[in-house]
Amino acid sequence: MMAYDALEEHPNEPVTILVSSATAKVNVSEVARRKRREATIERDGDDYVITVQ
Amino acid sequence: MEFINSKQGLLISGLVIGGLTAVLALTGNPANMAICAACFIRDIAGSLYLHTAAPVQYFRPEIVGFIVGSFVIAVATKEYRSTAGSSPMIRFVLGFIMMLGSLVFLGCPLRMVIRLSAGDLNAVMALIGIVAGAITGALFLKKGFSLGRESDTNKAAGAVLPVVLVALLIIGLATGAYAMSEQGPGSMHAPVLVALCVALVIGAIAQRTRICFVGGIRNLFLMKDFSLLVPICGIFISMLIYNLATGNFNLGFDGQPISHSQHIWNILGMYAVGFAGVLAGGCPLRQMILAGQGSSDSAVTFLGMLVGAAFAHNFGLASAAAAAATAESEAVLGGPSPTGQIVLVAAIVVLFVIAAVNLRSKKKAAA
Repeated sequence: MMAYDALEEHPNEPVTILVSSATAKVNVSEVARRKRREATIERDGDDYVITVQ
Repeated sequence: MEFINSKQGLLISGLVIGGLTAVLALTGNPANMAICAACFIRDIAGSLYLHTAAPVQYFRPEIVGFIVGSFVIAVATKEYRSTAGSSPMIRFVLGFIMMLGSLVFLGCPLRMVIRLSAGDLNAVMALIGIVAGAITGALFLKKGFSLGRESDTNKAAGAVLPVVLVALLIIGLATGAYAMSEQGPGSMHAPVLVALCVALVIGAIAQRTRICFVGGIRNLFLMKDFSLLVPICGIFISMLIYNLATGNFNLGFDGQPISHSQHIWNILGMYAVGFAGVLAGGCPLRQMILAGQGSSDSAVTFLGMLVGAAFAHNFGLASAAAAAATAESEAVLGGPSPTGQIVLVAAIVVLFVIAAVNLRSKKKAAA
């Protein structure tokens, strides 16, 4: 929900989202895709850093 | 995006799961209950003598398969992560309530879909309930409901549940020590190897696709995203084809196997499942998949469901199935007993309390 709200509040700025599970990674990536924004994913240990342009 | 998580991939996954479900139906699982996460956990509770309701005692290999299938694929794809610490006792209660609600309706969300595909209109009542319950939960999510973040824990901790279930299955097969129904739904089962193999595949697919009926409704309501409902539609289509082809499609309220037509209790039972499911982060099947991929919190939810099943049958809270009159016995209306009705309503009140006391202000959450 926080990621979704952040993307809504910053439609024209890059947003970096840190998630701790693969499920959340897929969910956030899907939200970005549906908002027609590009998302890149990097692994940070066991976490995932998703940068949405 | 991986193909399996595209719309086409999700639909194909659902069709495959539905097809595998049909295999279980063909090879002996109860009518309109080829897979039921809640009922099967209940049957396991009975097999271990946690309850003694004679018609529903059998150690279902399907439950082992779902969890182990998820575990194996999670390890293979490096998605296994042993976590814990996100309000486990609250999750235990949520699992307990999900089971109570399921046993009032006589099925989990997956069985609801299977019953819909067989023409059981009582499942339409349940659908109304689960949608309303999931939306209720989603509204609390919007207001900041959270059970807190899980933390990494010892890698072995997340493997306990899969390992224990495999051990229990082996012990049961080797010793014959568990209870086994001679009549009723517990006596109807696919061969162990078939059930286990099918469930392993379903567990793996469910882990990759994040399939969850309750989550699908939640996402549709919160984000207008229906992707998680796509595999559910696939399951429905496969099972509808199976039921039409085998003459098991019977459109109506009456005469449906292992069901009742107490509409208000079908609605409220699944309302509790939908509401508790959203608060817990997934329906009964999803909880098992999450437990398989390392979440000890979901493993505790599973234990809550197991204990809830035992409680329900020990204290007469589960619904009775409706039955037509015979030469020997009168017709049975079915549905929950007065005690079951009171406990279900109380459980729904408990859900509202849990939801309310776990609201976090957005500022605090962002800090």
